[in-house]
Amino acid sequence: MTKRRKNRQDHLANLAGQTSPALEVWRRFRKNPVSMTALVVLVALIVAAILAGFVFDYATQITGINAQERLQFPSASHWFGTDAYGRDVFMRVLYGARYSLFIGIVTSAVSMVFGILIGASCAYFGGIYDAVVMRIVDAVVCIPSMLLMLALVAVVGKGMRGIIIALVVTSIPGFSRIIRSIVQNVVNQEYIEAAHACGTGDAEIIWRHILPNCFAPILVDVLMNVASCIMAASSLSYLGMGIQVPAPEWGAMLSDATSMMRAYPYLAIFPGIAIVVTSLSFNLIGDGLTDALDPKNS
Amino acid sequence: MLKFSLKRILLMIPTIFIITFLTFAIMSLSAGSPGSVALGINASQADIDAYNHEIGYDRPLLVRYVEYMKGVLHGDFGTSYKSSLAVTKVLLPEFPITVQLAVLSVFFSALIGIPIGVLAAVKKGTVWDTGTTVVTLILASVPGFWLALLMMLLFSLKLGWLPSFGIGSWKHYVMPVATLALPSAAYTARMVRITMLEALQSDYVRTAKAKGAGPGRIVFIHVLRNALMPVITTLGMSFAGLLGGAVIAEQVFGLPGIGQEILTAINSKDSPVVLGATIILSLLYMLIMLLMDLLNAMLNPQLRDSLS
Repeated sequence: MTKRRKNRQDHLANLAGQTSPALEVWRRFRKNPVSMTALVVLVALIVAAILAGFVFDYATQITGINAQERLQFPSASHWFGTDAYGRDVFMRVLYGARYSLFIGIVTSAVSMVFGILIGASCAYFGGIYDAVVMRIVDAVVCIPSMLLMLALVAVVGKGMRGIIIALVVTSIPGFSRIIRSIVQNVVNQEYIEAAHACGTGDAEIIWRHILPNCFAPILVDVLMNVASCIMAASSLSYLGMGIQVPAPEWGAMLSDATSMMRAYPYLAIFPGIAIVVTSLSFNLIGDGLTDALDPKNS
Repeated sequence: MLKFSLKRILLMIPTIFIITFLTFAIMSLSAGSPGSVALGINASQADIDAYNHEIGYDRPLLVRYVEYMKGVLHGDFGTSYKSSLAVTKVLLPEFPITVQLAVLSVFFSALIGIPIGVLAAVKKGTVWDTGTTVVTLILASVPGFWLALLMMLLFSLKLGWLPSFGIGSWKHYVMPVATLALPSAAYTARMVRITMLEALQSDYVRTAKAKGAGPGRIVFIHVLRNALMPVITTLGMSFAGLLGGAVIAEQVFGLPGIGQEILTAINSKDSPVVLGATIILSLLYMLIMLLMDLLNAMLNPQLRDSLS
């Protein structure tokens, strides 16, 4: 198909209203080289994280001890060098993506569900219910989130469960607030009034008419939240309150590397780069999506 | 203005109760009871129970909360399980370091962030603008503790310019403050850029231009004053993040602040200290937000009607 013909077809499809809004957004997103690169990097990371679980043997290659190979600087055989126990840092960093991606995605998804339940119900029902719930949400926002996370870890215990609960609880207030304002914008539209007039039930209006129209802005927020969750999770692990060594979590690896940083700086570099690349790609995709969603950019 | 201030202060009261109750309830779920922490691991269950009964720990949650709040109103945040000292006694010496860190960081993030944001907005679409966007996005993706490690690697271990640990001269504060201020400055710059761009498109700028005001006068006299109002709120809000971030900076650079105390308390299951520190810092943050709101209301009379 020639380019011109394709353009004309696109144009006709647009006229006929056949291009779905999602496709339109994707078309705009695709034109942004920065966010596309971020998307490719992220997909590669996810694939690598999944494969790492099958390819590497956790007991020997990831956490095993290999005294002959200890503390070697980066080379052709060990791209990121080896640590104090002779473990290959490249393999550990790759394996570590499993923790960060899992924690970031799961906590954001779970807190998004809570955020939708709280935010959407507040925006939809309004009144006293909204006032009371939002008062509580605002109060929780007043507790510095790092402190709230530490307090929750103190109660739940260190480790994966503690991190996930701490991150979910601290993410919910922000989500609830933003989703409430997103939904409020949609609730005031005329087609919602029309649905009411047709006698459609509350649950159906929320599920079929309101949420689909809120999906995109919520998605942007979720992506940004994944990035901040990944950073917070590695910070907790660095403080010794999260995933514990010898597990190859990036924050825990950096915590381990700190004492040897003077002689073996590479140990403190690569896991950090991994954190930045991962959270940056989520942020860039979120940023690109924000631009693509803006109809002014078509 | 007086009416607004009173209303704003009254609205804080329910928030204070919600915060304290939530933190109190969360901390009371923790595994360590005062008896088990104070008497050590060799104590028998009967001794622990007796100890807990003696100090009233076995009463219902709500009763204990009311009791605790009575104390808080008199400045008593309970007693540390570990050291049997008053929580305020434990935290007081550490408090200034954490607050100093946070205040200095807010100051520097404003000092760096605002001019950069203004520059990016005024020179929209140029290298300055794109450069600002790229740098701020990257800084938003760097966890504070790694930024701290990188700086330590460069300035302490490689160049030997700055001390990497402890307190003493002003040099000890450079890296901890930079750790906190740089990401916050990046965020401030982004906010300033957005609000500046909005303000630059407003009607009063067109009027000013029509009256023959030069670009310098427009930016500094007309736009900046209006654009900075939301930024004041942002700076206040970033204070919460900085108080939390201080925990990390203190840990990396070995500063004896509240953050260090909280981490020690978590490790020894000393929940009154964790509870007290969380509540005190949350109240401090609420106070800052109150000041910011009052400041905004002073600058913008329209806001004073927003609470009615």
